[in-house]
Amino acid sequence: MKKILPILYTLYSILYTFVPSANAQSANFSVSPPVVELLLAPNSTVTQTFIIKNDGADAAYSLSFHKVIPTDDLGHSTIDPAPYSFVNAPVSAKLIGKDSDTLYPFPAGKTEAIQVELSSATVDEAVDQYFALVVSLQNPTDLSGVTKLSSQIAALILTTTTPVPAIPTDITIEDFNPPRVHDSLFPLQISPRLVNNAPVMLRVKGKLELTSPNNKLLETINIDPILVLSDTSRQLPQLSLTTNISPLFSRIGPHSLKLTIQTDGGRTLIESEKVFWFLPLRLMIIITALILIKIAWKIHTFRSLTNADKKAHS
Amino acid sequence: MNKYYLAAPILYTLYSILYTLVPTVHAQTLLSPNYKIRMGNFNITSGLKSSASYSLTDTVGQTAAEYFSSTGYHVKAGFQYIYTLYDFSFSVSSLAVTLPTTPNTFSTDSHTLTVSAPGQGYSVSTFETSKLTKSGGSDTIPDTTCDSGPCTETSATVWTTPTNNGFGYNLTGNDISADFISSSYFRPFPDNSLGETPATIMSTTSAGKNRTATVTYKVSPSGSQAAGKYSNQIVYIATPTY
Repeated sequence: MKKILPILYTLYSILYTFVPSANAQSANFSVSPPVVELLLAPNSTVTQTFIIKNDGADAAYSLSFHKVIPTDDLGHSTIDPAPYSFVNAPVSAKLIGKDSDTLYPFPAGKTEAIQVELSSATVDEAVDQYFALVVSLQNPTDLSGVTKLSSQIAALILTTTTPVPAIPTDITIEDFNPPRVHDSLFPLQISPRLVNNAPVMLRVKGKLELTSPNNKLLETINIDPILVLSDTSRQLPQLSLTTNISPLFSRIGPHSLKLTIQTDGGRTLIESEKVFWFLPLRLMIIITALILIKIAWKIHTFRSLTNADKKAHS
Repeated sequence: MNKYYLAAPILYTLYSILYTLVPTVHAQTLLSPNYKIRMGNFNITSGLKSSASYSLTDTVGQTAAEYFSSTGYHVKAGFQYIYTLYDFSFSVSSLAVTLPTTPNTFSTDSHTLTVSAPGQGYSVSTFETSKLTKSGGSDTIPDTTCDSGPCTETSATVWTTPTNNGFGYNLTGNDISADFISSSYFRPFPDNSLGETPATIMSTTSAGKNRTATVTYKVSPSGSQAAGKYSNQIVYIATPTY
């Protein structure tokens, strides 16, 4: 037995080393940049380069263009599976040196530059168009009788074509509703929404300012630049105020909350100001309750003494 | 009578009020091996604009007019747009799924989806090109409607009874849709051949790396299903947020 064990161990090691793994091929790839925003004058052409990299095993890739459809007000979108038609579109896209829906080898570790030529048509007024370059990775092996998986990455191409440098803006603020009265002891959290009613996308930034009853600026929260596509809304990240204000009792009385939305260049587009009351509500409830307990106890004590006196005299 | 006997119910009521009215504080994880905090604003110069209702998309002091006069375009893919600086990557641990088709018996197979989006959030959507179809024929295995509910392309329900035949999938892991409550909840794939819209299965607004979910496929053909190999194609699309 002592002689057999090392032999068996050696055999096992050999088998374990040389038996190929039964795992199906995987896909692991990347694209850069993932989002491109493009501002075009009519009848102009620009070439955008996307870098794709295969971080997995040998594979094959194909390229295609598809429509981008916003799905919510958090910046998410979905890709229309149907190929995008550039007929009568303000911007048309063409691959340079490659054909759509053709499989190209994509060896493991390889990086490729994909060039896309974007051309704008004649337009009378500013107009947006959103589509994506979709890179599809497939298993180059011909598999039959098994369900095949195709992994795809979309690189968003968001365009504005305008005949004049000035871009129309029409943005409104919604859901900016602080409560009429808020407890001083707790942070004030709000999450307003921006609605872009213009035909073009707009990148905006902003700030939220909290001012005291005597017009002292207590807190400012800067809002990072955010993109709002045309005819869509965008939720601002939840903003939490009063986390750093001290002393605590400066948060009593009517306060002002002002939301300012600005262009990327700093011009104010829209402002909204709301007044609300800070009161230490829970503290007031506790103090009131303690007073009531004290009063109730005094009444109870008085009645107990009165009953005792009556019994003593009867 | 002991004074504490009267105070106790009042104090209990106060405690209940506090406990009910104190808002739940969810700590936001800003430091994690899988997350990075996005950078803040860059300083952008401002200038006098021409109209109250028009905006010039200027960056670093230049105006769109200057871009148009020199090149005719302006590509916003540079330093000030931080989400353009990072690679957006997507991996699928297997490009093939093998599901034996034994009548009225569940067969399953799994693999993972991993997304790295260091500069922004993302979403992953999916669809099937057609129903599971027999090789060399036209027989199909229908998409599951689960046990009861029924489940739909966007709403998963429990599917644990093998005699409720069909084909579907479950998701567990990071950033998955909320209707995948447990590993027993399944959805059918949207069928692109019927014009059904791709369904979102993973999404987040937070930047992150190596966000991973496990997809589990499940099939149970009926007893009258024609014998043979059935297959189709499942497509997963990773899309960055804008």
